Amino acid sequence: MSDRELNEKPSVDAQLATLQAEYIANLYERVLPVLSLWQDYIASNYSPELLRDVYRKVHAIAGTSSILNVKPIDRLSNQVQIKIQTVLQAADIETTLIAEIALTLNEILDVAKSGDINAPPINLNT
Amino acid sequence: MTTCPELERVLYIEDEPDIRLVAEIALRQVGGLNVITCAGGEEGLSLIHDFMPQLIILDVMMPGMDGPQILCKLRDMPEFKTTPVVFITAKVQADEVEQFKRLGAADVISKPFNPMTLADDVRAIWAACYE
Repeated sequence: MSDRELNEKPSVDAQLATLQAEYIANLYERVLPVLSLWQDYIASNYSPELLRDVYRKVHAIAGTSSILNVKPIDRLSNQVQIKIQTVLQAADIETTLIAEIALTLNEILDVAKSGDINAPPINLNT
Repeated sequence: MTTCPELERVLYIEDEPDIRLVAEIALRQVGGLNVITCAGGEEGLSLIHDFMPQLIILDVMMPGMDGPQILCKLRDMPEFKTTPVVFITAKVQADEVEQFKRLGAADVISKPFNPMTLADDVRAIWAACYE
């Protein structure tokens, strides 16, 4: 890479900040299909395969949110993952747990929709 | 002990586009490595012979082929039978690390990784493979 290219290239911090901002801006569109899949799961009378699909999508959101320091979404999506694992491992469907998952998924959607998200900079030097 | 060659080429297979971008920044710009990132196992395996990575990083949970399945495919290829493979996964437990190592992984990096130190972590794993 030439000196000119190096000078023109945004700093690593700036690139990460842009990625974080874009992720937050698009989060609502990303969370919406998870809610739709969750509705499919409920409508299917609790198909474990559909619940595993929900888990995979929430897992992806959790992973990206953790790396991009989008802490509230990271925290909430981790809660959902733990609860889904409990449902998948249980012999019977526990309706209280299902209601809690629905509540947390809606909370994720609300936070994503508001765009008002506490996301500290991805500080590379800490 | 075998002399440890310098690590230059790394293949990273990860389905999440934002994580791929962060990894590219971390490994290429911060770490100075020659990195190719791919969205899935099929894509990664299709270009692996052209790129000939010295080390491969695999996300564990991916749609289609997951990390352990890709590792199995790699071990069936004579050229990549011993290539160090690093799994990357969220909030990994100690027993899971051992499980992944039994599958043949050189090591496991947990998410969230630190973009500033990811390349150093990968180089340390690479060096440990030659101890």
